Amino acid sequence: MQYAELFCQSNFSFLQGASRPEELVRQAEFLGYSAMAITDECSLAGVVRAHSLIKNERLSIKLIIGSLLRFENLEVVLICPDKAAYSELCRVISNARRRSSKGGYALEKWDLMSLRHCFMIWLPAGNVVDESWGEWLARYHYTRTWIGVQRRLDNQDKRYVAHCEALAKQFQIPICAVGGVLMHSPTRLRLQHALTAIAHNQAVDQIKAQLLANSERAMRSKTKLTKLFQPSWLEESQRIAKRCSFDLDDLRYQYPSELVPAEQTAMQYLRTLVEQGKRQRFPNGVPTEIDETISKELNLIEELDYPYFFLTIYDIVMFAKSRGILYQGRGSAANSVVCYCLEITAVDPRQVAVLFERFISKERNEPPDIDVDFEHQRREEVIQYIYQKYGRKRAALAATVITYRFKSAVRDVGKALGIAQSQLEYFIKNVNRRDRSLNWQAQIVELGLEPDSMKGQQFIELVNEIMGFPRHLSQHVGGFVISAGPLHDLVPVENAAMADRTVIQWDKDDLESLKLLKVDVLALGMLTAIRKAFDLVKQHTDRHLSIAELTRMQDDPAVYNMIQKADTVGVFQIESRAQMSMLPRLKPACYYDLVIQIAIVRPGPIQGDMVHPFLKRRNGEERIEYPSEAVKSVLERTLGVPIFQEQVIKLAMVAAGFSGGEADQLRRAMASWKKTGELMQFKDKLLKGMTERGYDNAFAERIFEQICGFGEYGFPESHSASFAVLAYASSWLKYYYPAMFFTALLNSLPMGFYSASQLLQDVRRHQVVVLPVCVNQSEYDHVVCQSQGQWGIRLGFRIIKGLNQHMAAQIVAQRPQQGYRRVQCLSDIGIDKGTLERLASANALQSFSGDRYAARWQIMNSEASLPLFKTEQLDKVHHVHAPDVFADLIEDYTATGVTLNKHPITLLEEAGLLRPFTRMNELAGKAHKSLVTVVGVVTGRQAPGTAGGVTFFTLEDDTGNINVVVWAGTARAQKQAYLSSKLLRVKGIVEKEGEVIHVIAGRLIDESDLLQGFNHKSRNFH
Amino acid sequence: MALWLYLHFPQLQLDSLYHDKAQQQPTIIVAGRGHSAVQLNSAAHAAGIRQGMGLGAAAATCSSLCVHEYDEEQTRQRLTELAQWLYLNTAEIHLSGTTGLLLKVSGMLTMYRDISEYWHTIQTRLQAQNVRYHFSLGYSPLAAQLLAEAKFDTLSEDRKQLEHRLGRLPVSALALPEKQHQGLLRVGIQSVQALFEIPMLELGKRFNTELVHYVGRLRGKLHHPVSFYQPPEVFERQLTLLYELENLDWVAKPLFKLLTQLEQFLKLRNKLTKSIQFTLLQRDCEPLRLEIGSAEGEYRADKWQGLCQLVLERTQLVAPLQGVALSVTGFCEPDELSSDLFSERCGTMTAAGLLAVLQAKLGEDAVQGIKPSADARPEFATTHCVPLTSQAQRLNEIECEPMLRPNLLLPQILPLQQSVTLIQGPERICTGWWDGHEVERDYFIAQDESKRWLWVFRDRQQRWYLHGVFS
Repeated sequence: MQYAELFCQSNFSFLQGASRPEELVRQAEFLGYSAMAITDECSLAGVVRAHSLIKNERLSIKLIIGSLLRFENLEVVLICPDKAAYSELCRVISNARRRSSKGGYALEKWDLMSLRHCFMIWLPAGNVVDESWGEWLARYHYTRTWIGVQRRLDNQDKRYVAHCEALAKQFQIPICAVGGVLMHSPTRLRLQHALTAIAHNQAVDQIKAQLLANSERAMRSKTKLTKLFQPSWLEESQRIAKRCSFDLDDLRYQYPSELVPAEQTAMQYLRTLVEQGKRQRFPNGVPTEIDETISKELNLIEELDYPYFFLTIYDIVMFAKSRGILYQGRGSAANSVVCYCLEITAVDPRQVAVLFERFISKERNEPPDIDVDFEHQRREEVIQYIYQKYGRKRAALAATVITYRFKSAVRDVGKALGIAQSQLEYFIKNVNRRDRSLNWQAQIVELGLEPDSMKGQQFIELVNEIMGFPRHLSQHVGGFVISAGPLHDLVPVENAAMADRTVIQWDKDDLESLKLLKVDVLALGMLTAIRKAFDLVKQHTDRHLSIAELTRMQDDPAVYNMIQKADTVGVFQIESRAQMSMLPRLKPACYYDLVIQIAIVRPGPIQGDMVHPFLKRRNGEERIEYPSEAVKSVLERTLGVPIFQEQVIKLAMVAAGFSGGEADQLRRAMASWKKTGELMQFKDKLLKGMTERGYDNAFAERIFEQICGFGEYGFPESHSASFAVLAYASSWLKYYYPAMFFTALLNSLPMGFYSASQLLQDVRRHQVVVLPVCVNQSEYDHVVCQSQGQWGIRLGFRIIKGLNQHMAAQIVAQRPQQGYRRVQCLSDIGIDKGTLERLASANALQSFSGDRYAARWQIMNSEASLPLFKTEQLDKVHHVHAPDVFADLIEDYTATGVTLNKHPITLLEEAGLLRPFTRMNELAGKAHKSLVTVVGVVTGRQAPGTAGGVTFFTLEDDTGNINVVVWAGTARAQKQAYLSSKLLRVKGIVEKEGEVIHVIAGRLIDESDLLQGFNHKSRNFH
Repeated sequence: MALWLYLHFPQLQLDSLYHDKAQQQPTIIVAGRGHSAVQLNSAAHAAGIRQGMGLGAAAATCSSLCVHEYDEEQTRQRLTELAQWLYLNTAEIHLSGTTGLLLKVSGMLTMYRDISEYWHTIQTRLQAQNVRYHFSLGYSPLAAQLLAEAKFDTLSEDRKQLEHRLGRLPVSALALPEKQHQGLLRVGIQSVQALFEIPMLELGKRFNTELVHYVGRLRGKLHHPVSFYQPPEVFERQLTLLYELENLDWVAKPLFKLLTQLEQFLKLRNKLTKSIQFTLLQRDCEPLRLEIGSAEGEYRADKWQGLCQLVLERTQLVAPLQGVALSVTGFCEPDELSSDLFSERCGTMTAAGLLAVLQAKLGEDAVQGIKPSADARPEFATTHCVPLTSQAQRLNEIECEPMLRPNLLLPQILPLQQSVTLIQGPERICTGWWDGHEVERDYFIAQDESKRWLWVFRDRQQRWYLHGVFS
């Protein structure tokens, strides 16, 4: 007997299906079904996963694409026999989804009426409404309609089957057998019940009427099917399946054709553009080997048929260029010479010597990857350009599948089991997911969950099962899919939460599986800052800079010298605490060192224990050996230590014998392994493969550890290479034009790692004068100015919290030649009271209005705005006292978040409130391993998941930032000070490594009480 | 100016929950969306937890933390209890929010020798209640409240001293919106004193009237209206018998006298009551309290008499009876129970009347209603409910297709002994994992040799059982 399951919902029918598409496919294959349809409710989001599994594991089962649709009281499963039906289904789903807000759908009768290709499996409701629908279906879709009979074995079962048979007879519609599958196995019944409860937002025992009475909606064995269904019904299902010939692989992506001039092919056009680019990029002629590389790259692009992809991106970056938006490409194909010629990237190939082949590879069988970062404040312009050029029908964002993670799983499952919400919150807050020694189950038991109680067991079981289940579709950060025809011929499109954004129902993995290309349009704050810095440099020195220009000038030792000293506050990527502590050890001295630096301070290399061997080899303390020539070719550029994602994958191929396809699967498993845990299945194969080829077991284990570590944070060389360019460019700017660079940074906030206050303190340490915001001097943005023959920064109105930009513009535009003389002048030009008060508190009225309290007091007077009083001199009797230095500090922080006056530490010391301590600038004079006491405002607490329980504190005193390392034990013993102190005194030991100084904390003393009223929030645990 | 005493109870819920336990374990009460700590015991404080800390931070600070959710209703009730408790000693009490009591002292001092005697009495009363509190006197309700909340805890009626202490408070202590606080701070007004120094006129030009009024009330310059606590109305009567009774049959007469008084009481107020409590005072032993309810509100003495009679039939005296007391604390409005003209009312007795009789006769818990439940397991397909839940209400809860079910479901499932012929089925039921009574059964309709229609099932181990019989 042959059977094809035509009605089967996966967990992409959110909160209905209780099995993953992959599980359903595997089970169907195991049960010997000839075919199965994935028919999620108004969605095709799960089909690609099923499709990929069948392809990757070469299963014999046939996948049919379909969808369950509900309209009023009609339930019908649409099945796609061919491509035309598939497009039709995509269109119907898209229309229904687009009519509704995110997550819902609204079908119209016309949608169903207009179907011409899809097969319809009608699921009668079992009551009188079936009469009219039967007639309707028989009238409009007679040749393509079946009655799908389910056997649910509930108390209505017998009546229902009889009812269906009667309908079949009455309307002459054939019957087929369907399973109505919601679970691949009956063991998922509890989960299905829990999902139903979650959907109803109630506990399981409160919604009994909605629960399935039994597990008959699991997949059934063929024996059971023969017992339950008439043979002719089973045969009918099989016949329908046979008529379905559509395969997702038949989808052919059509690139938008308008990119290519009419008389040229895409490849010809690409070659023309590259030829033009060559002349521009290499005005003195193209070096021979580069010319060879270009033609090699072009041939590869032609062979793999990717010219459109490059042209699409070229078109987008040209738009950005025309608008003066700074951008930078990255990714496997971005650092090619072709991309350099197309101006997608600014990385000079002569400088970088990165081979295109390393990034795009035939044997790895992966699509080219180019992400383009744009200035974060202007990315929306690029997105709007894409929408406007291709229309909303042809461009949409890729989806991101939001899945159940630990917290959401605990919350929802707990609620379904009727566990009190405060208890659940307590669990969530107290479980430390980073604690690798104790899994969450054990931790929750420690927190008071009865492990042996029935509820406790069910809770743990269900939370484990539901994790990784999809909850809803969200929009990808910037992955666009653009096609030649309407997108909804290819894939259903639905509304995103954001107004005017549409997403397709597939995520980036799905797109990759089907070899559909997406273009990543991402936002990057540093590009905004760099572009603004370039503009400022041009404005003040008339020097024209660009990223390409900076890389062309070759490595500058002075800049690297600054980097080696970890003087990198504000610089791209290498400004974090972990990065900064590595800089003096790694001592980057050229571009490629930066590429390594950026990739090495990551969870992957750290977990794989690759950092120390690399440092030793670099310092010549360890011999560099290669287990084989093949490995040497992969690892030579990183001294035999695998650091990049590409190297690890390449290693799996050359050392463990992975095929190209397997390596690609490995790469994808790495990207999502935290979610799916798929990586473990590669472990055996990898270790075995490497041992067979004579590699050391420890080496193999280490490689695998690193693969796990890469996980979601995996850092490929191709991205690191592009980031290193930006890191260098920002360092260069910081070194040569600190005033311009910091002004640009401050004007691009929020971005990066440091607050305005921290940036300003850093720039002042670089001998740049910072001038306060002033109503007669400032612009809205911060500006560069000359002060005592030096470059300085004049703070702009934007630093004042809550200040209306329009008002600020007004102040600047209407400013009289000699400046404003009285508050009245400002209110005369329409500046409102709120703005005036903010200006007063920020001390911006200082030039004419006394202290800020008095100014504000005066502004607050409502009589002042009355016409009679307008010209009168207001009474000079002040009822408020002038602020003291502390009050000034508090006002500075409250109004602007920064102060140019004395640092809190200075003030406290002058007030005699601080016991003796060592300042940051005195630490250098202390001996290594000597005892020291430091005091500072806590400006950063970072507990990187990789640092083995270490927390990095940044303490700021009036001379700089002190790096304090707190070990887990220390933190645990002094929890209160560790967790909540704002002003911290630390007694500890000085650790010196070259020029880098840390303090290893012994005692933490919370002195926050001294700060009472200082409104200075530390940035906790990034 | 009147003198006020304010009592601030910072942790009523905590106090009422745990006063008898040794307070070893750190305990906090959390409230709001962020589950922040609003009340905490000393152990929690010692562990480093502070007021306002989020649950996350609190839990991270202290690992063995006992957490309860804030219950406003409970707190309010507790505060009312305290008011009632103090009402015996002081007449004018105002319930201030859920955390404070405001006592008007001025009027009371004629009853006591001086303020310290008054305070001593109050203090003694409070001690018995085992609650933590802070207190202060003040010449305006707000001043007393602020000082008490700031833990002044000093019995001083010296105007200067009170004003001085008030002046030292930061403006953040004032019960003003955050925006007002900020407005004051941003012009350097940080203490109440600084605020007081500014002429009202100047304040009025710069701040809204709310602030000006607040300051006026705080300084006692503006009237601060408060509403005083009224103890609830109760009916309480006691009748001492002229001679001791040993037979309860004789109690009917005196009881009826009390019930007639109750009837008068209720009629005058146009009220009904659903339950009465009467107490039999016996010689040399604990009084016996009996609670009698009537689902339908009632005021008539003869109706209550009938119900009492039924209860008394079940009651045994242990010692001779010396007196009877009757008390009623809950009342209801007659219109709450207006009955439908067309509702089924056959004979002289209503359903509610019957229920009252049955409950009086058998005890309250012995009478229950039934309603269908959506549970697929037959033994859970009906559940008990409060008797006389209206039909509409019952049907509202559940909506299902008619099912083929036997009229008689056996109270105990029996192993199937006889041979049967299966006629219809299976109906498969696998559910109920959430309450520990999970079933996995295939039900069939079967006929035995004597042609009886049976409802049988087979479990997972292929054992057969009889569960019901069709009529």
